[in-house]
Amino acid sequence: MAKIFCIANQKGGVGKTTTTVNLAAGLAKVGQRVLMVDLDPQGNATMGSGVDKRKLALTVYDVLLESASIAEARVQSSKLVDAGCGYDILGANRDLAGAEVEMVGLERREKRLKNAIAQIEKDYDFILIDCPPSLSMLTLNGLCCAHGVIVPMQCEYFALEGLADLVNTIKQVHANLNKELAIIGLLRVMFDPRITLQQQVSEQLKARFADKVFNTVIPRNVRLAEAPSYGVPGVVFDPLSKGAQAFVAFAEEMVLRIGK
Amino acid sequence: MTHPANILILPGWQGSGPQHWQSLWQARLGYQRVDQHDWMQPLRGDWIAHLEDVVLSTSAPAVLVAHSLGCMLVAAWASHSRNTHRVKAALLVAPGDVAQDALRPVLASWSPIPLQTLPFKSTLVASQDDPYCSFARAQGFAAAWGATLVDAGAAGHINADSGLGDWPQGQALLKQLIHS
Repeated sequence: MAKIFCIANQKGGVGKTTTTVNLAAGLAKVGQRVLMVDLDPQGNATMGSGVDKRKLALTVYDVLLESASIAEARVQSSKLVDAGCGYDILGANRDLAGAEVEMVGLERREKRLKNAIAQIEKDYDFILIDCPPSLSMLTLNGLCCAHGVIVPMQCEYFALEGLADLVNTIKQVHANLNKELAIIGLLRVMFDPRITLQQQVSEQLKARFADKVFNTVIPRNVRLAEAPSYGVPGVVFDPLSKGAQAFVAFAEEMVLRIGK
Repeated sequence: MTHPANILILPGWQGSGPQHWQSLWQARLGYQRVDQHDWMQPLRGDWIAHLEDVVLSTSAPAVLVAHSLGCMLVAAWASHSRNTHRVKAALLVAPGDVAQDALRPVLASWSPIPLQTLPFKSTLVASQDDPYCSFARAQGFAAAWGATLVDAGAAGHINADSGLGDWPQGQALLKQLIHS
């Protein structure tokens, strides 16, 4: 059965979507069967996976409202498949914002995604869920069906502050809704070793969270930043760039870490 | 007395142009338009979420003035929102029948049309020769939503092409609805 991970951080702009699409592409590149679920109404992970969110007939919104199954709504990008990094995409667009209003009166509303994933879980080795930065019904749906959370973090002064909020949220979900949920690991992203403060925060993270900090470090890399405007993950856009190679290394670490 | 900013203009698919009575009311009377992100590709969830935000931002009970797809938005929003108590009344003009053959393929996410009684008072104005909704269908919507039906005669889609100017009859219906 698939291992299901949310990529989450309650702080915006930390490279969450970049992590999701590049980890998905990296895992696909090393032979894993992957589904990427975009749970953010901005649809950036959808666009960054080579899928035009404006042309989607069905999205995760339809799945949450139970008007479509994941098998009906998932798509692929030929650009990614041709590059040997193809993964399935359950896309999102602005429609998804309505789910917050439309699910309010529904029973077991936080389990809608979990129920839908249960039907297709066997098709995948990994399911990655890109969560919005706020704690919403959408994020809760992601956290309720996940085995763990991957937290991308920039090694900056306020990084630990944002982490405290997320840890608190995860504890609450663990206690009330999903006993399996745990932080799988902290991923240091946009790392620049020339900046002393980043080195110091990185050391603090390792001292405090020990083996919860992934060994792989994702460097600040302009090719990763450029890739979304071409509608592909950096792993596909420039496979030889340091950023792309780091994400493939991270994918390999993930495979090893969860004992596959 | 309803503050003009709490009277919300809800245009339909592709928006309402400058000569549409909704735009004329907005310009002349200071009503607030619910400006959707995308008028050409109307995503139901997006429109519902934005209406919810605007209703929550009003300072007092709001009055909705909807045209065409805007009427379907009112029905969809009202069937889910926990904040319908913040709406005092709705004027629903020329509802766009998204289930008709010409519209269903392009506005697929808007079906099925919610047919629950609206939790606020409403008036539905329908035309005898509206290409986007037969009068019989409009009668059905009014009955389902609990709206008072007003027959506008042969007025097309009750829009800028109908030659209504700033539609004083509609303004009178709105005043009647607010003060009833």
